[in-house]
Amino acid sequence: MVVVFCFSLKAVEWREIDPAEFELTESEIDPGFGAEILFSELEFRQEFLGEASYKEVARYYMRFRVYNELGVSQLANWKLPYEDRRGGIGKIEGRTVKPSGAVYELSQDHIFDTELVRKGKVDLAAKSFAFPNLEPGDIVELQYLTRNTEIDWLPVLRFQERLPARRITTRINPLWDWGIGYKVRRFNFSEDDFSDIEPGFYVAEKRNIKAIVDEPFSLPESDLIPTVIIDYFDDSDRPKDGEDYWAFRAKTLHREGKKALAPSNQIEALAKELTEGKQSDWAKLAVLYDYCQNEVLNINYSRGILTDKERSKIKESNKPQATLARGNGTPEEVTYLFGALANAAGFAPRIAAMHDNRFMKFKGWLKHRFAMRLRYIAIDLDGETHYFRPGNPFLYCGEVEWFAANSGVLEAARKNGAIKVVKQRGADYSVRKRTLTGALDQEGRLTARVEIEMSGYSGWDAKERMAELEGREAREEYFADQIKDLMPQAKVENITISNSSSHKYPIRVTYDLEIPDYADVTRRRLYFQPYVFGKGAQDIFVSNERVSPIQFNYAATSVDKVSIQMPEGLVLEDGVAPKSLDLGAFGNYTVSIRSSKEGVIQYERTFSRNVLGLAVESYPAVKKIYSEINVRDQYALGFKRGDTDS
Amino acid sequence: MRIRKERGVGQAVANLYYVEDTEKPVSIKAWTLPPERRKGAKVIAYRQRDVGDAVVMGAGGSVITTHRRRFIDASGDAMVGSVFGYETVVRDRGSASELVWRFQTEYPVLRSRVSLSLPEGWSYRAHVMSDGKLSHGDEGSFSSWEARDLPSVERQPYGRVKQFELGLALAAPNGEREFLPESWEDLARYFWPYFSSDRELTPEMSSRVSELTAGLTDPLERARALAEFAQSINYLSIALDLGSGGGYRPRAPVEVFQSNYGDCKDKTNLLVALLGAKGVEAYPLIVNWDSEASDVDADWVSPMQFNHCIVAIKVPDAYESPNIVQKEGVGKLFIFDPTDVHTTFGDIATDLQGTKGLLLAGDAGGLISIPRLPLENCEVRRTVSAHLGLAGVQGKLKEVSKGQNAAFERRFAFTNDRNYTERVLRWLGGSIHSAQVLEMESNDYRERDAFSLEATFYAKGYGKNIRDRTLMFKPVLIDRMEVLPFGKDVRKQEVHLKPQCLVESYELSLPEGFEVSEMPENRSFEELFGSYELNFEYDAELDLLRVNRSIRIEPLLVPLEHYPALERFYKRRINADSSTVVLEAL
Repeated sequence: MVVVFCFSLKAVEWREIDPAEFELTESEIDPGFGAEILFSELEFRQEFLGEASYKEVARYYMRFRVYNELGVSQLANWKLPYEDRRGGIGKIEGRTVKPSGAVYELSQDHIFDTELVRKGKVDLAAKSFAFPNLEPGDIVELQYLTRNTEIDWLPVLRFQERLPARRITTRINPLWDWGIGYKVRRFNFSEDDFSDIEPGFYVAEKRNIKAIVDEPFSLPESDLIPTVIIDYFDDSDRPKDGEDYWAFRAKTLHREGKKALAPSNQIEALAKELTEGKQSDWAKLAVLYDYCQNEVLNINYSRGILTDKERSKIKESNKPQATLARGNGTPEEVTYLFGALANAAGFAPRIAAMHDNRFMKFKGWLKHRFAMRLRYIAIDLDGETHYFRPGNPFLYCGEVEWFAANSGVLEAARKNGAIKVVKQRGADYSVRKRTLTGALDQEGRLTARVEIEMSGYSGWDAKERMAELEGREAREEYFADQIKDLMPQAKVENITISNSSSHKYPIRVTYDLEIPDYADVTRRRLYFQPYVFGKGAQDIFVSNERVSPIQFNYAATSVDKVSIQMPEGLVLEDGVAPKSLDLGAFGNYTVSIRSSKEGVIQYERTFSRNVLGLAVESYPAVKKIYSEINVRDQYALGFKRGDTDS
Repeated sequence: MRIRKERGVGQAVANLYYVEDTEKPVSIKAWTLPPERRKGAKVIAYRQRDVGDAVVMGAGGSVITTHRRRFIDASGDAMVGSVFGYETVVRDRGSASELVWRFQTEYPVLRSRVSLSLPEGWSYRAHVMSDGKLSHGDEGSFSSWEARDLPSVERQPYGRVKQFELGLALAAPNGEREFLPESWEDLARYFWPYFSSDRELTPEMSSRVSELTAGLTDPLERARALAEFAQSINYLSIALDLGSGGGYRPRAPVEVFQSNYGDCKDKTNLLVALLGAKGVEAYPLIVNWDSEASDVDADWVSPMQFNHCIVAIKVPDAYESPNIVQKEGVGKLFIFDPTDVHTTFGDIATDLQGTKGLLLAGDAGGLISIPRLPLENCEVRRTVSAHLGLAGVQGKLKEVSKGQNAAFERRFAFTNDRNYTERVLRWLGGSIHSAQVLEMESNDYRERDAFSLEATFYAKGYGKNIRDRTLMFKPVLIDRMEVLPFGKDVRKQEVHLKPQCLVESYELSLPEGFEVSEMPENRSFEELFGSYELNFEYDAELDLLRVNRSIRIEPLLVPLEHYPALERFYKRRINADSSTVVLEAL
């Protein structure tokens, strides 16, 4: 069926502009921004045309006020991308309105069509144009329409941009088709925000929206940016009337598990061979887990082993036997093979679905297939349920990834399935230990050997980071930069990284460190900061204001031990011991220092953070804690030369 | 290419760049040979479905361009030990008569060769840039140039890379392609018509000129008013017809005026037209704005050495200014860049100073040298008054920047205020640990080419407090140099110093009940390229420590053999900046 788009030739209508709009010299919502969205309206329709043919139309009308040169640079130049094969952009109308009332229309001759990228099935183009005669103080307006022949089955409509906005309104007309249901869901809207149903449309609106800003230790964007999504679902993939959604999903997992965890003869034989002689259940599971980790190539971590083409030729299968025969698999296939082996070894594994909190925090009402996409194997041992995921090559046996924990888990169940919670581990689980052993010379040069070990979630994060970096040099640079970013004059050499792909052992890094002029040397004295790892560190939280809640990924502890041999001829000046800090429920900061007869200074610092999420109102307190810790980390010792007068 | 490390995998991409108005990609083929260790693995030969085509995004602000790239991305298949190869064929029907072959790349090159075969009657001229070793020979209808065993192009801080390149100019007997002129004067004459036609102003434009220059009698003030107007035109590029000279041809002044946007040559052309309406002669000046590139090679007469266009404004003979260049046949010229919105009238961007540009002035055009402005033009004058206590330091900073330093501050300040505040915070925090900015005010005095910053700051725990009995601190609170700016690798390139002129004074009131136990020595040292002075004065009566620091660095080119002296100079500076004062309780 050929669909021909006829773009309307109706003259565009512009709404009146209140002259008062020109009087403001900056945004009242977010002062300091170069421009502001006065309003942005979207009418979004999706339609079923019959015979598996669809249409999606989005109509935009936007009005902006430009306050200064920055705003001009942000709004002058536009590129509206579209996929050529799916549809196109209709007539674009734009105009610049001056405070004097003069109007400059965007000429159609100055709208250019560019093919951005064409490769395979991807054909991305853009309409490019610049608003005419744009200057600070102007208002610009834009109207255009996009049409697509393929519809987005999970449209995400945002209500926050990188500019402040007075009003963002969306009217949504979802498609209707037999066998397809939908739900319009709002995320990060407050009760005060407007929503309504007009004939044929769902309407959602937000007012006085601050611009998106990037802040350290924030929630995922999906948890911050107000969004409306149209959640389409297959009617047959829904619970029956009265049936609980999660019970329905658990039943689906149960059915999936029957095939996915079914052992073949070969799997049976392998399980028997591997568990031979193992006495305890844990020992048996551990050896099966190790096998899946070590002997089955995880294709998501196969850079340098498989090419893209080879990877693309691998057909994902629901059968663990296929995974075993190929010797490779996706993370899910590797995990299911473990489940099948465990099944063969006499355990009762079941599929457990968990949610990845990195893209959005789990909410019980998030009854959608994009929730709970991670797959674990749940096995009961000694009255307790344990979860296994060998599909993550760095994950310890029986551990849960930090972004899946503190969230919901749904275990396969024939009936009465429900969400349970699996808790994250505490601060004593994720530990980074750093040891520095070195010496200072008379000129203040520090030479030392550094050893770092990271375990728990910290270790997993570091290993994942190593896997992303290209090559040994990049990995070494990653650790060297942690010191060089603070002290650019530092020399970091002979770096070794061990266990970066191990799921059993903590990652270990060692290197030799030399920092010229580390200590401050005067004619009679030498001063230095024992906490080498924090010298010159800037505060983490710099801004006086915070817009979003604070979110740390997991509780963690860092333990640092520094041992420095002082040069001869120096005597410790009056010193006071560094002070620990009582952080209450937030965590713990302790420091201690000792000096030996041989002139070795030993400094120990432990910082644990227990909290994960804090409301935005807590920001001043959190900022103060980190600032205070930073000040204490700069603690210094002073030494006098033994032959000088006091 | 052979992939030797994981980092090289991403380089396994075949690229064919072309301008779609005059060039047609005929074919692009690529292969990946597996590493030897992968026994049985096959060669991957890429097919049509693997070929992509994308626009090449130009320098910030291209609305549209005809510059494109056809590609085969094999990085997903390459791994350490793979060999990746490709072949591209492009047909060029444009009128451009020059091409450049670059022998050296960012990776080592075992062999690089360019071969030229021309139809009967065609001729060529070749120019080798840089003094690399090149072999040349003719075989049959081919003329070839080859270089072997070339190290990678290394970029060092403050260094400039002299590319090992071959420029080839072609001429066809039927005039379809012509040699460009062989002298700079002739080249200037060649491009002059691109800018000199279509200067007529519309009534609206004339009215605007009158409005902008109303009440101004001094010709230079009129020029300033019109120049600042040209700067306010939004920078946007419409890069069409690149294959037939579109990259050199500006849009008509009336078009630029009406749309209120244009690229560098558009803004130049507009300004020249507006100035002309007021009886001020001005000329386009094409330059190279690439801080990492070597200066224009005077022996290679080619427009390909330039990438930017500014204006040279004729001024009366009596006019004196450091920003003046004398050109025979034209007179005194004042240099101005209508694209650089942060550089004021009278100032010149650091990277352009001292370079050569091609003046398009009819029969009087040719290569000229852009003046270097005196160091005082970019002075930063800073005063800090602070109180040092046992718990920390609180103080006030006042700083006035001029010239390019003012331009630098404007560049950051004109982003939203929050960013500038944080930038100042981080700048202060680099020397004053955990600094907080309590108040801040900045002012841009463009008419005086100055930018001022005032900030009140506080930092807890500045200095090392030993049991409230000894306090050790660095009196140079701000902008302490801690590391050599030239990198740590063995120096292989001459150093292009950036100008610096800092005059700084501190007045630090000291905590009560303390006396100075150790005072650092005054420092003063000087080399051909710069000087450094630091002196301390303790006023016991007022319990005040006064510190004065002045740094002057001339924007010179320091040859390699003088690098050790340069290194020594900067190490002494690092040492001096870290001077320490020790106070002891009475």
